[in-house]
Amino acid sequence: MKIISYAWWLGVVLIGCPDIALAHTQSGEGNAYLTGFLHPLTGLDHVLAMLAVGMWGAQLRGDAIWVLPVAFPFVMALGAVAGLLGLPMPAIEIGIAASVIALGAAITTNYRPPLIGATALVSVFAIFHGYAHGAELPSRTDALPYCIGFVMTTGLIHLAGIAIGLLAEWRRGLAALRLGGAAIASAGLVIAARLMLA
Amino acid sequence: MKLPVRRRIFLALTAALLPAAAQAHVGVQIVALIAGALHPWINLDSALLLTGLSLWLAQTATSTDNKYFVIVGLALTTGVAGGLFVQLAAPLWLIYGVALGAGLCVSFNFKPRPIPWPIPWLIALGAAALLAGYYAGADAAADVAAPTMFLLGVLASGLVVPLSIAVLLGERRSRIMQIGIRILGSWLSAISLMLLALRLHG
Repeated sequence: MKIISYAWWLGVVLIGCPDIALAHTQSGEGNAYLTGFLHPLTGLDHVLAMLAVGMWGAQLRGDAIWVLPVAFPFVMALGAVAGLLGLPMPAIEIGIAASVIALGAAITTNYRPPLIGATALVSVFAIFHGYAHGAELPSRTDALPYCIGFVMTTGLIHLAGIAIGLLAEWRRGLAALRLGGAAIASAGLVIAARLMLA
Repeated sequence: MKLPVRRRIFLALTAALLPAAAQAHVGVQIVALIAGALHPWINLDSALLLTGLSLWLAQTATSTDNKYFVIVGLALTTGVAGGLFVQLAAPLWLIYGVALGAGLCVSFNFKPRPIPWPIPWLIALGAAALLAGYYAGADAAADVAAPTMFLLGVLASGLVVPLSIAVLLGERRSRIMQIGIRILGSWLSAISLMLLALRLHG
């Protein structure tokens, strides 16, 4: 009932919200925010890896459900700083493809390392993803709204992954989740193969 | 009909969010009030810090323990007044550093030790609130036609919104809500870390 009640209030707010934000195309900070928000969505590798982080965290249960999605953005920020500052980092694309394969495989095999091990693995991959976001900041774009945008998108995809990962609560759901992990790992292999052939 | 407190707060926030669509011909007073209310939240740096403070307060304070709300409320009010009337340099690295600290505290749920008296936590929250308030009130347009209404607007949104967020989120003690708050804290710390690094790098 509470959810319905708050959904009703949210509806009222949304109806009440004016069209001032929609009347004009975005420019300046709005454009930078939108650019950052859309950036993780423009690469399938990013989306799959973020989904996998949330799915794996939910599959591992316990503290992992929040530790992985909390650790990822923070370490990703470190990578993004390196990218924004133009520090050299090798094999970014390979690292991102490896993250998709490894996280997908972890879900498929229901791999359950200690929490610190899972966090370390996710954190290493987060550096590659963050670097890619930071290095691809368009010139003359305000960094603040851009960073807010891509951190929010990353987090929202994690949340979607957690929602999917909660399927593991049910027996058939766990099978479906592992199947999803296999699909993610397979996609990662395709991405890696294309990188090798390019 | 008597509405519950949470419903009333939500109603007040809803009313605050309602647009100016019905105010096509408004006076100077209301324009200054709206400008003041928007001032702390239009500036993304200020919004970042206020959001961090709200989440931190939400996680630290409990409904049975009002001292955190009192300290933060007083510090915010003092800060806003100071920002409007006293011109001091508020370096951005300090804003980002405090937002980073608040985000980390929220992410890892650092709780004050209840015995005997969580003075360091109160000081930290109070200092953060003072800074957030100061930054919310700083750089206000000097040529506002109705400064009193502008001040009221800044105070209303710089004080009421963070405290309302803290009350609304603080009452939710479900596991999902706790996870959500932690994740929001990690977003905040990630954004602040990036901006801090960029600012320090120049």
